[in-house]
Amino acid sequence: MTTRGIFRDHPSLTAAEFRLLRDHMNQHAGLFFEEDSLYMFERRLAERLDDLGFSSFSEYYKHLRHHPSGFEELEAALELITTKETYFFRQEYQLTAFQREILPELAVSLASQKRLRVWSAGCSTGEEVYTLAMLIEQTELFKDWSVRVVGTDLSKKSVAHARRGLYRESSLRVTTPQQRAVFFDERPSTGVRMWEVKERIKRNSWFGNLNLLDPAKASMVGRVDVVFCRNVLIYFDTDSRRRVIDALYERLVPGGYLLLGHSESLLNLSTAFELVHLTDDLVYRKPLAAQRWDR
Amino acid sequence: MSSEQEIELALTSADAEVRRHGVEKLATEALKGRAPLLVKCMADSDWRVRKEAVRIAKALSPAPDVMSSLLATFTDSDHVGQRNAAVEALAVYGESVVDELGRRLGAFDADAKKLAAEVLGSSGEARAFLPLSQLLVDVDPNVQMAGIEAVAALGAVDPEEAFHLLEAALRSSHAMLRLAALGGLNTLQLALPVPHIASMLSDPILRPTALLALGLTGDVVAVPMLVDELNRGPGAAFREALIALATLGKSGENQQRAVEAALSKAPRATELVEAQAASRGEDLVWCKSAVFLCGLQKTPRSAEILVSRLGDADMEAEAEAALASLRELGVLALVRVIPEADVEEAFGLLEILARLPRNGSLAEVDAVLLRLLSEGDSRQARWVLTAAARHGGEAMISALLPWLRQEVPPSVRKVAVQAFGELTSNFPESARRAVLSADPQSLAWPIVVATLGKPVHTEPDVDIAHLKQLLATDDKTMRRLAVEALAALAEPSAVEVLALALTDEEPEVQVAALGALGSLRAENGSSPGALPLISLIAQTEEDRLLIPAIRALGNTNDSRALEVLRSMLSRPEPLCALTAIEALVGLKSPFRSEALADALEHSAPDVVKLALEALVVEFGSQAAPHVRFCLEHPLREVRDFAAHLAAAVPGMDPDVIRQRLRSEPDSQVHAALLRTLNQLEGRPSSRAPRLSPPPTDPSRA
Repeated sequence: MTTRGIFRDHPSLTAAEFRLLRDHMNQHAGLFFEEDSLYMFERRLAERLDDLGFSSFSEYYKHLRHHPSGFEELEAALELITTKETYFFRQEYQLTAFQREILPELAVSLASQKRLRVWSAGCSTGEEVYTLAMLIEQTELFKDWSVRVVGTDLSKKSVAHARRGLYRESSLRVTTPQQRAVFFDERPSTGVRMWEVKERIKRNSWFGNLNLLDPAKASMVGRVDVVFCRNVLIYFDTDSRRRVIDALYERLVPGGYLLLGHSESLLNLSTAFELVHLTDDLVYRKPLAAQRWDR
Repeated sequence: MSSEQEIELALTSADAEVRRHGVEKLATEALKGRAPLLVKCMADSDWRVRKEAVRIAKALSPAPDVMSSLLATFTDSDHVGQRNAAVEALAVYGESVVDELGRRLGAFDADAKKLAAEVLGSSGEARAFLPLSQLLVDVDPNVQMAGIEAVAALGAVDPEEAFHLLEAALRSSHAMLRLAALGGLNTLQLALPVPHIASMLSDPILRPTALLALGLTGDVVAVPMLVDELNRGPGAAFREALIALATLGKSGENQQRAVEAALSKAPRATELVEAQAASRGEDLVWCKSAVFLCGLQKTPRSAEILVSRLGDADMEAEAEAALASLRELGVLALVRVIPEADVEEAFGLLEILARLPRNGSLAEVDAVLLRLLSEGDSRQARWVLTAAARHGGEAMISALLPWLRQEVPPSVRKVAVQAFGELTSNFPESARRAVLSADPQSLAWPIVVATLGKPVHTEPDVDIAHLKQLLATDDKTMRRLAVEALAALAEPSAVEVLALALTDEEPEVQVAALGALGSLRAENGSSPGALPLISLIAQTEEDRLLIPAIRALGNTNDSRALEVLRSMLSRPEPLCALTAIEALVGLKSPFRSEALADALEHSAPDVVKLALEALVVEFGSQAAPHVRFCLEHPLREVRDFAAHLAAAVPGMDPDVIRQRLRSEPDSQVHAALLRTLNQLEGRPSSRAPRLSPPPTDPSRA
């Protein structure tokens, strides 16, 4: 057992141990981590070693691989590794495109069925899901419609957090006072300002726990009109990215939109989508002529 | 020094431990003359040596030299300990010692015969009845007595034969022999006719044992005789009469009613029974019998006594069962002591109260439970709610609502959910009204819908929209109950939200959603939940979801389910295939027999057996070829199962069984085939002649 720095009292992660852990996670969830994730692994997984009483990451790796409860522990480890920090109304330019260009178009094309479905794939603790539900409400185009924004994430803990809809100030870092007043209730708490999403927004926001590489679970999301999959693909290797994109394609109705993170694209991943130039953003769309096997 | 000399030296050592080691070596060294040495050691002065010698002698069973030396002690030794040790060891020599004793009995003196009786009685061999029957007619009454006791000890092996011998012994001119025979019958719980026993009641020696025998008859004619004896008050036979009356009362419903009726007309007997039930005597059988009879005496005093015995570890179970028999009287007696009990005791009493049968609404019970609930202690509330689930009246419904809130500790809330469901079943209209006036976010709504299987509102759409919305809350219990409520309504439009619930992070919600998808029905009878279930089954790797999904798909009765379930039969995991078979049985498809027949090819014997049973139960005579197929199965347990099952197939051809009998290599399967053949040909199986000798089991050879 070694320590690094005077304040650290947990084992250090060797490069070899990192590769073993990384490959095991890749095998299970298709997630891929570059070598520079070593310190993030070490930092975030240290608490698991403490809890389980292991003195090295090698022991922890063996536990993940061979112990009867290794599968559950792997899920816990993945939660710690993949939980990403996010906040309401993030990447405003893309949200503006969604609100001003995509939603009005959908309001027309879906008017006969009055049913709008949006999927936030990899929703973390739910900020994006609620943001989308808020934007939809703001347009006032979907009153009396069946509106559902579904958020899914690999982390059960994140999904449970998302369902509560209760956030710290840091999640509202770009939320304006006006937005706070319309969409949130301030909740009294000891020493920390907490904000709860208003009940009417929660009513249209649904959450689920799924691995995007699990087609069985993904199919339970149903057919959707828009998919937000922002800053999720970066965690996957190329092969897994293709599988994720295929799953998202499968869930979209023809003419449905796919919005990725600002640094992500479908380059070398899929040619099935068409690129759509909006005023503020470039987004992907499933061609209207697309045939689905089960339609 | 040879090993023989070493052992002999060890056996003569002054150190008992050295001698014990010497005995131990007798088991491993094939010494000439080891048997007499071993038997000699049974007379050693040290108990460890004697015990070791018995152990080795048992381990060497059925060595003829050892058995012969052990039997020799009956005639040659006057060392009591040695002879007792020999008896103990010989008891495990089975058929050999029984046959040998049968040959030697005539030459034995009375003492040896008594020892022989003891060995025969503990041999566990049905053939021991023959030599024992000789001892029962011996000229020496002491030998007869030993024979009777041995027959009683051996009786469980063949009760019919034991009854025959003991009944004959009842005709003896010696009262003690008759007593031993009657005692033996009682021990074996073999009943004589009441008139026969009644004729023995006038004999003061036999009377107590005869009264016990009356209890075993199960004949209500005996009830007044036993109650009369109780009325005489404490005396020589009071204990036996009380035990017998309890035994009789436990033998059936009619008997219980007869005892109850007789006691209601016998106030003195009732008082005496109560006194005995309240006493803290050491005779547990007596006390437990009195406690049981208290349960049949519908008196408040009996109820109070039973409640007081609940704290007695030896009597707790009997007292609780008796309280249950007292019904309303028992519940009220228990409820009255709870408020005065200390905390831990009160929890225990509430737990017992929750197990007592419900007797309608009792205002006094509600009042006590409401008072305890209002104290707000969540630990206490858990037990109060458990009791309320069973006994609560209408007044409890609104009192339960606060305990359904999310902030209530999960273990307490879980009980509150159950209690509210029970109360809903008992008072549907009150529960419905309570929901309409309660917070819409209360668990009460889905509980009532799930329990009653119908909406709370007159407009069902209001319920459906609300229940769907509840699926999006952060309360997992709420989500699960909402799923169950939607399932109870079989609402087809819920398919989308239920499919989405399969991605819920809580397994309990996922599993409930699977079940719910299986229960949805459209107006035209189709199952909208079938498609997501088929999709999940086809793609999921999670056994946790796969098994309930298969089960749910079976409930849909969808035409597409057949092929999906059929494909599950080829999965190697037995649980998966077993569930698929159960699901296939529920389908109405005419082609399911072909699918079930596929399962007969599975590598797991349990799967093959379940499929075969399903085919026989569902398709009767049409399953005969499948039974025939399984009779040739390479696995013995499948053949054995098929052999048994063949008897249940209408029109099964006996020639198939006969043919199989000729080639079946396993003796157990052979016996099963023989029984089935006898049944098919209308012969009683136990008396049927053996058609051919069973072949030797090659695996044993």
